Amino acid sequence: MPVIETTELTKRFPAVLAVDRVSLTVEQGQIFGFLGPNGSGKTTTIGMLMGIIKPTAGSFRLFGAGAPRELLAARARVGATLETPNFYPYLSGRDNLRIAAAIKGIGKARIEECLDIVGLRGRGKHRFRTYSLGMKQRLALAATMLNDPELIVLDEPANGLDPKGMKEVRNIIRLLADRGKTIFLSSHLLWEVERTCTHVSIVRKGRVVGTGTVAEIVGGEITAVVRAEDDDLLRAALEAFPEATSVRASDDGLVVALASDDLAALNRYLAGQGIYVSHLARRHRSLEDAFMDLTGEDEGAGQASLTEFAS
Amino acid sequence: MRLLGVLVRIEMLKAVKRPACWVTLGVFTVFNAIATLSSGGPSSQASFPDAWRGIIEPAINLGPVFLAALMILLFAPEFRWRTARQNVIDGLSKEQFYWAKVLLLVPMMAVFIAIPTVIGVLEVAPNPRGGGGGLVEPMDFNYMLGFVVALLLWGTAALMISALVRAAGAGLGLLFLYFICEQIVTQLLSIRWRALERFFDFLPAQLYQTITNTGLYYPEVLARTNAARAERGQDLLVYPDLWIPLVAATAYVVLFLGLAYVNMRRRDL
Ligand SMILES: Nc1ncnc2c1ncn2[C@@H]1O[C@H](COP(=O)(O)OP(=O)(O)OP(=O)(O)O)[C@@H](O)[C@H]1O
Ligand SMILES: [Mg+2]
Repeated sequence: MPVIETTELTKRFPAVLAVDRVSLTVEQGQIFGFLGPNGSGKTTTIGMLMGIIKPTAGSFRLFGAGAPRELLAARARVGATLETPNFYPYLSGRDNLRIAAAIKGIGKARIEECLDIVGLRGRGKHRFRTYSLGMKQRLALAATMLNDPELIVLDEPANGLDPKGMKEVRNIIRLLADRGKTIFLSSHLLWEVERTCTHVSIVRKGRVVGTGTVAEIVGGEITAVVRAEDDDLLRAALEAFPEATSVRASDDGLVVALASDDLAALNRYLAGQGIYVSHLARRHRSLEDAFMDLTGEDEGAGQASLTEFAS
Repeated sequence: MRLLGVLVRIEMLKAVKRPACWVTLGVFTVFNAIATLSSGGPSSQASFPDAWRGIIEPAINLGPVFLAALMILLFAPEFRWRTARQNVIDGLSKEQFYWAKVLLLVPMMAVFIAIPTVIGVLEVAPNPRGGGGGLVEPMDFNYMLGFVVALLLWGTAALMISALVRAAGAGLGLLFLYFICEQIVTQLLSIRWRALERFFDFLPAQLYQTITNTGLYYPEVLARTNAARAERGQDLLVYPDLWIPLVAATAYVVLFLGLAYVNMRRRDL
């Protein structure tokens, strides 16, 4: 039974078709990245799953539940954030969690635990209003974890976090995934998703334009660029390497396509053959390349220069 | 049953820690105390049961307005803060979120009844018990009922406006603007078309004026007012049976609650 299953889910606002017949399946244990440019309908889709936005058409199931009453019960197994962290500005971080905990039927001890996990214990008594953006995000993350949910839905969790914060979020996500939790996260940060997620769906203007494992979306091929003093010797050795599927020359050196991305094994093998490489680097199509291919086309020059800036 | 407890608990937590809530209650307490003390004085009403009229009169004129302001302050900002969303994400349904606000109205009304009562008792208690039978006479009881209905009328109007407008400032503005405009517009219209007056009597603001009028509950007050009006050559006031405006006001309460509910159900958060 899939954790999330949407069938032709559609939301039309007066001015825009925000979500257009989206069909997704998220299985238990997946870290599912939901990618798309600004305004592509990610938040709206999550909003429908969480019961705050009514779909115009189509349907969805959470843990197999589809009817309103069942869904309400199913949502007790979910922890989610949507867009910005939504809290009472005049309440302390701890009091904000107390409200969420009361709704979820969670006790006091767990509140402290969650504040601890996100590193906010020391600031728990301060008003939410006085938090920095990163602290607000952390508090949101703490709120999602209160009920030890089976499914965690995060809408741009890394937004506003510093590199250390992002790393912590990534670690928390991995930790949760290792414990068998399912994670559904939307993001613009492609390298972040690429590092974290097992599966992705790419949306553009409300339509899903690509879905699959990260490797499938990126296009699978793992290649490495290798240089050594003697090209011919290197080439012969590479062609004999059992993991190599093809070898070709390029400006940078020899490009070898590999069945696995264990570069250390390749290096070991070459050293064993008496070849010491002067350069060995993984070269593969990034998720960003795939993302741009799938969503880029008529997005205009602004987007292109933005990506250049980002990379 | 667990749900009921949860809804009350979260609403009380939200309210108790809200500075604006205490400011509103504080200002009401001061106003109410001033009004009670200034109208009291060394009269025969300074002892129970006669004192009730003097206690309720300022409260019924101030309380509902303050209650409405407070309810808007406690409801409408939840949309701008997106905490309504978060409450739903955390596990309430949209309907349950709305019922939490309706439930909140009950303890808030209790506060608005308790404050004037305490002020009144503090003022009157040192004096000896007056004549008459019980602590509360039937007419006082009706007046109390009218007070409760008036609180409900404004409280539910505030809930409805909060759900519709979703912003505290705009909501407060709309509520008071309507209250003023209804009176001006109906007065202007009824100069031309006197027949409309009977219908205008059942508009919310006019109804509120009627159910808060002491003369509706105490015939001797009405008689005194009318005697004064007769001297000045004005029309005499004629009140309908007590239950007619009270039932009409209650009908508005149900209507306001229903409209708010339907609106909450239909709209996205
Ligand atoms: N309440 C609303 N009323 C009208 N239009 C809306 C509403 N919410 C979203 N939209 C529109 O729906 C589209 C999708 O918005 P959505 O917030 O889902 O995008 P997103 O993928 O989350 O974008 P971002 O990456 O910027 O967060 C946008 O064109 C947006 O303007
Ligand atoms: Mg979004």
